[in-house]
Amino acid sequence: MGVLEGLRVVELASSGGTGFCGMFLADLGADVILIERPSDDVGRARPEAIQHRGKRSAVLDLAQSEAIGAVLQLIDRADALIEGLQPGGMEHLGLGPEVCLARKPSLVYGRLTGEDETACAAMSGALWIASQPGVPAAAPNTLLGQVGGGALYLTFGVLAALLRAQSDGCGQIVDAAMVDGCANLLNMMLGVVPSRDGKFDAIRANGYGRHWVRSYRCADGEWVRVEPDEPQFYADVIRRLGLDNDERFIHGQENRKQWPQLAAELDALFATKTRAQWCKLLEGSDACFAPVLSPIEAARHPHNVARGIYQTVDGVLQAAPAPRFTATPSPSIHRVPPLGAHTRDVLRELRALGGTDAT
Amino acid sequence: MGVLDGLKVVEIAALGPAPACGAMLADLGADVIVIERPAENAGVPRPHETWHRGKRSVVIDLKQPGTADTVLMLVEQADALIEGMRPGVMERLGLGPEACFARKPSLVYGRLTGWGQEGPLKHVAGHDGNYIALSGALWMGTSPALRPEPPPGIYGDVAGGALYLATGLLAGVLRARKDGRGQVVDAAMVDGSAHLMNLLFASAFTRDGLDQLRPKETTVVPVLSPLQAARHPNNAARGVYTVLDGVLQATAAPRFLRTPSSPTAHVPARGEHTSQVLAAPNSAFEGMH
Repeated sequence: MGVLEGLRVVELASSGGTGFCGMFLADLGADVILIERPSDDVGRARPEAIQHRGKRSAVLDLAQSEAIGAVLQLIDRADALIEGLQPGGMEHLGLGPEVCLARKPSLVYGRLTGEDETACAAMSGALWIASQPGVPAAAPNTLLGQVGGGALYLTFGVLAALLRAQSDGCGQIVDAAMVDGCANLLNMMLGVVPSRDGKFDAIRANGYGRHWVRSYRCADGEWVRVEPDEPQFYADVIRRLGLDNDERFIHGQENRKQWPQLAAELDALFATKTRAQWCKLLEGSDACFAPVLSPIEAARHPHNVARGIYQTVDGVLQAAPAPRFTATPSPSIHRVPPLGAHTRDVLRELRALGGTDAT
Repeated sequence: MGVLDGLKVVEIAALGPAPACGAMLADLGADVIVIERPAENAGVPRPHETWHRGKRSVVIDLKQPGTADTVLMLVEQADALIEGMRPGVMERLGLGPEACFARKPSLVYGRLTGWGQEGPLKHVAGHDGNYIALSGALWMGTSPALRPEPPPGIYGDVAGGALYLATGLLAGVLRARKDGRGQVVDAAMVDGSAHLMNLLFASAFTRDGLDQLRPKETTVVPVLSPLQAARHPNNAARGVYTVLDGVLQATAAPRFLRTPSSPTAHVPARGEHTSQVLAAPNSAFEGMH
């Protein structure tokens, strides 16, 4: 089930973004065989490892040549391979791109590189953009690096290369370097710089100081986010806040010198009501407003509930597959396979196709 | 030139992430025709609008009767369409999914919005920061010690929006080339920005546990601005950034070793390709790859 039904992917397990890429493909219906290393907890349930949901897990000891032979046979039958080992790791195992592409010329060989996400984000310019001016940077927590600049670009690239291989029969290496991806994430906003006096500071978090594009703290310590950038939406918010008789606010978007003062006044105003009270007043209007929710709270918000964005499977909160397809909807959230749950199945399939010695 | 040579895309210009999605496809070699509305800056260079780089720009006033038919002629030749209007607007223009599928059954019809095509907020106005506030990604992606201010446009527009639609479109086209069936791809930033947290949810699933995973202050590494990053020897050697027509921008990502992407393309002026495309709209995509 799913738009990618019939697509076969081999994933070499590693920590970080590769697992997310495999999950993304499995979410959309691909058959992802995850090759994992032997460990003490083979067979143990691990519902929290949602980056592996929907995959088939095969445990193979890659120190054994029979296991490498089995992986190569799986690759013979696969459309794509994804890996995020240290540079040279795949080559060292005898699974480098030359070996694989020689056996399977149409293979798309996806590589995710960039071991240290903080270093990649910092070196790319993305961490600077994500940090507020004047305060120390906060290390990324996968959203900016491993997933945002890494796994999403690998997934996009693997599908692009598959489309190409489908038409000309030739595979290739897809090089998804986290530093490239992190920089690429910035492109849209880099284009905005000239319209903000050419200042890069103005596209940083909290860097432009507009009082109408800001998070405000409420009486209960929770936060709300307002972003009415268009003049008509701005006017709507000012009216709803009861400030439509204050010339400073009415013309507040035009007079930049007043922005800090107006932000301070709105800080005080928003601190007078709880988040729930502000939601009642502003949510559902064209105020470009939303409460700042934790994922746990987000899972209960009516819009997210109506869309089924969050689900709890085997006790673990997780987000449903995205994006959505009308003709080939993704299946409901898959369970996470225990480590090695499919080793026998996978090896049996290989034997049926001509034999393997790996056990 | 690039891995997506031969992929034909029609984009209906909008604000926000839809153009960024078109640019990502154009970066990799797709032929993207962007339909823009008439405006005073037609024909004027606009190199900073990096979200249109590498496309062909055609000015069509979709409010004028009969213009939808011209767009449908382009759609008939295309693999995919990108639009980022509020739900219902394309339908009112005569360019909704049904009208397009009637002309091109295998079309992959990509819709990029904040709240999605369905749900109680679907008609409500919003921006990047609102969508990620509601999905939990703003809370999750910012330090608990500071006011939760996101890097503008990153988690919602680009990561949770443009990249999810770009990936969804390619998945849809792969499928359509096998079974001939097109479909709608509903890419909502509230969905995408939730999905990109799944790696974090694998590590914790209580509010306290997740709170521990929010970004923490670091002083470990030098944090480079984009200008400094562009000059860093490793990035310079890789060509991560380029300056084109005076505008600093990142090059195409990811990289393809057999079918590398062309050097970063210029931004077309608004309407630069109007006469070329409209001279023969029935064959607008021919001979371009």
